[in-house]
Amino acid sequence: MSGVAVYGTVLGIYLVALVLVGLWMGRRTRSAEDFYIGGRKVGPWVTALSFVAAYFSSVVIVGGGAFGYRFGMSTLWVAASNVLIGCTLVWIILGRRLWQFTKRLDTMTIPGFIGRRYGAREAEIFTAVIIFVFMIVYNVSVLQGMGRIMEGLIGIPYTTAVVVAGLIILAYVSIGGYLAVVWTSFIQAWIMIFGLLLLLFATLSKVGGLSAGTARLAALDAGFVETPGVWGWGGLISFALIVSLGVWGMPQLLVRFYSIKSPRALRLGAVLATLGGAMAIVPYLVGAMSRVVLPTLENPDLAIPMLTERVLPPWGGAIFLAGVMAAGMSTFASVLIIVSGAIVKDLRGGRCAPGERESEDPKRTGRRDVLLGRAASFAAGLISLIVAYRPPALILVVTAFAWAVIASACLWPVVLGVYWRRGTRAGATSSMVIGTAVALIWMVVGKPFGIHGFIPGVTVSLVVFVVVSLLTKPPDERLVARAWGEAGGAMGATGPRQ
Amino acid sequence: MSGTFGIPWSTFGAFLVVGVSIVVAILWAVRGGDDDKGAP
Repeated sequence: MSGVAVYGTVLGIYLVALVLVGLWMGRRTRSAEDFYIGGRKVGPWVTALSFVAAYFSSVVIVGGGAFGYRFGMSTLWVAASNVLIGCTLVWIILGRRLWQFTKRLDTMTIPGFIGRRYGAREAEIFTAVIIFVFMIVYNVSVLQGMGRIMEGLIGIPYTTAVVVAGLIILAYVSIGGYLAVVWTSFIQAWIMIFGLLLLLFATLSKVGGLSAGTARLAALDAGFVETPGVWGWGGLISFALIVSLGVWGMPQLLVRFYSIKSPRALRLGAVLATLGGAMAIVPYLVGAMSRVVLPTLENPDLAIPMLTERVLPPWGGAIFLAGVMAAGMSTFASVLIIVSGAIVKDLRGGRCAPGERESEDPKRTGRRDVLLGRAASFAAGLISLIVAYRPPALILVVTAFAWAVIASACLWPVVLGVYWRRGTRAGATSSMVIGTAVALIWMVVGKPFGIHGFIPGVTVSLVVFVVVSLLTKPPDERLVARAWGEAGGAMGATGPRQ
Repeated sequence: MSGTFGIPWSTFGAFLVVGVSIVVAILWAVRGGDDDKGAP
């Protein structure tokens, strides 16, 4: 069997399996809560591993490998920050509180949480718009990553790869909703982990082991094995912060915390997410080592695809390719469900049709919400697909751009929303608007001082949040009491049922 | 100066951070405690 036939067979089986999972989960999806958060009944294994799969897209694998190739082993610190800040600490510090607060506030989206926590419908709409626009940008870069690696590995034209993978994701997300997303992501996480380990062992074997590979890399340039090495502290720290702290404001990852079935499950989830997240080391390490195998590569984005071809047999390459596809598809799917929630639950306001009262027929309302959710996720995916067809140039830069804006908008209203009672409606809203504007303007004017827009965006957002909150009237005690689960709590300004 | 596997300590520290993260997550998970506090 030829290499391409092996690749095609493995991928074909894998893609059919994903659609079947989508169909199966579609049968279990009867209400909006099922469609958007799996009825808050998802177990720790599925939640944690789907978190990892959504976090580490094919962009991280291909782009991380490219960074490893360009800057060497100092990029391992990016992976370390991914694990500590982006997995362990976010689960511990934010996970349980977000679970409790979203349940008390009866909401199933991050814009909904922000709207209810601060009694600010305008903040809810603003977050939903930011999610809609920038999540689609992010999804475009995810599709690009998948397309590029399929083109590099098996020669499928970029556009064909993007359209086939994109349409399959659209099918299973639209049908199966959040349950399809997490269950397919759970499967995809295992494929991704297996594929990465396979590439790691094959690469280390090729370079003569970790010690020998390090020595050979150091012989090319000592800066490739030292920290900060050829990268420099500025680039290293700002990039590590973007891809780690950014998680704390990313709705498609935060949703895992309030869809899990209990805080007890969340504890086991923290361990599993940390262990799975440790896989982030592999693309950077393998990317760095690929310079030993391919010392004269002109385009670092090709480091991982070409290394795969060089060190793995066809079946191994097929599994790795499936892993990269898995990483991209799980991220894309996770984002689609969030964009759909932003449109249907937040922008539309989750309100009933004119003349219809939700309490009159919950089954009918549930069916209508699921139908709307399906249509919205399909439409959002289709837009991403069309944009990805003529993509912008740099994969990782585009992703980091979208992350910067979303994180600048959501991070502090979410984090301080579950820790700081004094945060006000004006503080949250102004922090989001000004933080987003600063991040955007910073990127548009060409990253002054070489600093990424994420850093000024989240810094200004924090300062504005605290200062404006302290300068404005304290929030309504009933609103705060409800969020903190105390007696006398009241509904937020966004109404009784989202 | 070389650390483990010939990797300088400044870089090997990244592996140590990953190890510490795993230990921290396990300790938090086994600590148990007020899991259901605040559940409606």
